[in-house]
Amino acid sequence: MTAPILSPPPLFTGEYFQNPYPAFTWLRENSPVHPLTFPVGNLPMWLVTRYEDVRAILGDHNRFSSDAPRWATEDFKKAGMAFGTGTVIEQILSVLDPPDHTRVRKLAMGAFTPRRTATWKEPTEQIVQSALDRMQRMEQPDVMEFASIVPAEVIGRVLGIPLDRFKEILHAIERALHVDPEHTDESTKAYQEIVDYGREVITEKRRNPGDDLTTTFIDARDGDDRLDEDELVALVALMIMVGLDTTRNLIGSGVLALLDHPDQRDLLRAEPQLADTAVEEFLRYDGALTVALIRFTKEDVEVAGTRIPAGSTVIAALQSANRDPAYFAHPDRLDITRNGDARHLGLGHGLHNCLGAALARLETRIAVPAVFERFPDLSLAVPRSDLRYGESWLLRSLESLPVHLNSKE
Amino acid sequence: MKATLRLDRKVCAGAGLCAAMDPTHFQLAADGRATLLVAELADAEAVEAAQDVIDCCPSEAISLAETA
Repeated sequence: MTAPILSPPPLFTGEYFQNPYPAFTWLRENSPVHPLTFPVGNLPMWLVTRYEDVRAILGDHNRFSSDAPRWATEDFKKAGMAFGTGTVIEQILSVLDPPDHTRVRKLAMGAFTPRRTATWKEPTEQIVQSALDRMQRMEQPDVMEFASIVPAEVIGRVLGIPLDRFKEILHAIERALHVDPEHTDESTKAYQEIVDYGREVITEKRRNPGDDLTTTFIDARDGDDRLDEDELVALVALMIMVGLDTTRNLIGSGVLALLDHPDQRDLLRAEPQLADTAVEEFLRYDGALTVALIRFTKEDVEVAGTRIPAGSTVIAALQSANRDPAYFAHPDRLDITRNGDARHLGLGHGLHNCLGAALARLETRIAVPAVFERFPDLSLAVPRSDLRYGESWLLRSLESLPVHLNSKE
Repeated sequence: MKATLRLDRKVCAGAGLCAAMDPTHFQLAADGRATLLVAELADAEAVEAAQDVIDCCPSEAISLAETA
């Protein structure tokens, strides 16, 4: 028998980034509302890991705000942890509280309803097939390249912009989210690049309007005055930022999950109608975001018997909630037929639940099965233990997923 | 204007947005999907607030039926 671990495992550092699940298990059992010092900037925070508490926090924007400029501590802002400090990204939809949130979300939601999203099915299928063609020609095929191309091209078409610069933008996103208190200007610069790109896109679209989302947003600004100019820029920047990395991660983790669970891969091939529940399971099993965007307490609150004072920084661990055995039977097992357990929190919950959920689901439902349809004998080209995740406090992002496309003979 | 809220529980994905925005009319049931606490909307203000929730729902699960 192994001795019980008495102290909490290291968080937001080292091995945690590669596999946070053992740490989450420990926290759920021993310290579900856990005070910690965030390694970057030595910021005091609370990490919440049980399903019911995570869901309750995300559903309670009146006490847990996402609005960092308004509610975060000065130390938090100084460490560069707030999104886009000093740029219009500071006020993206993801951090707004009502009533501004309601006004902007209403406007953006129209573009991502299940019905609107369904019209993207055929274009997405074409994009996936041509991305698979490219993968087939690669000397060292990498599923993550495929997984990057698909959302970039889809969101490029939705916004009506050529995303020939998407690698540059992906890199800017990565640099923006990389928090280093010694060099916060680097992150600000990266955010500014994303904003500048958004402005360029808007300028171009004002000149050449099209049947696309950017033009719809511009009309809402110039026609109906439902957005101010900064909000318009922030909204386009947001679409670029969140449409790329997140779906990339989900497609990659879905493929990896099926490589790790050949029985589930075979089941999905035999019963393609399971694709919908499979996508929900990918979101639960290893979703794109490890934790939710940070919340700030607007007043003293109590979570599962622990008092958190007003002005605190709270991290709700989505992926820990999604593996909570109190809500999911055999939570560490991938089961694409899972149905009837609790709803996963892989797309968030409450006011700020994922706006692009329907599009992310559509892309993943098409892309992941298509990989195994094209390459039934797909296998890892490196030892499983060589796979690395980016060291991000927020995103669960595989760096690369090298594969053999055909069985080795 | 009076109106009645309709909720399609088969379409609801349980994102929890309605209950967060308007806990007077919506709550989440044990199965994680939304339920209506009060379906009747008494005045124009209530109808407008409900329309906000309808427009923000990611699943298009909520609608309004005008009653008078």
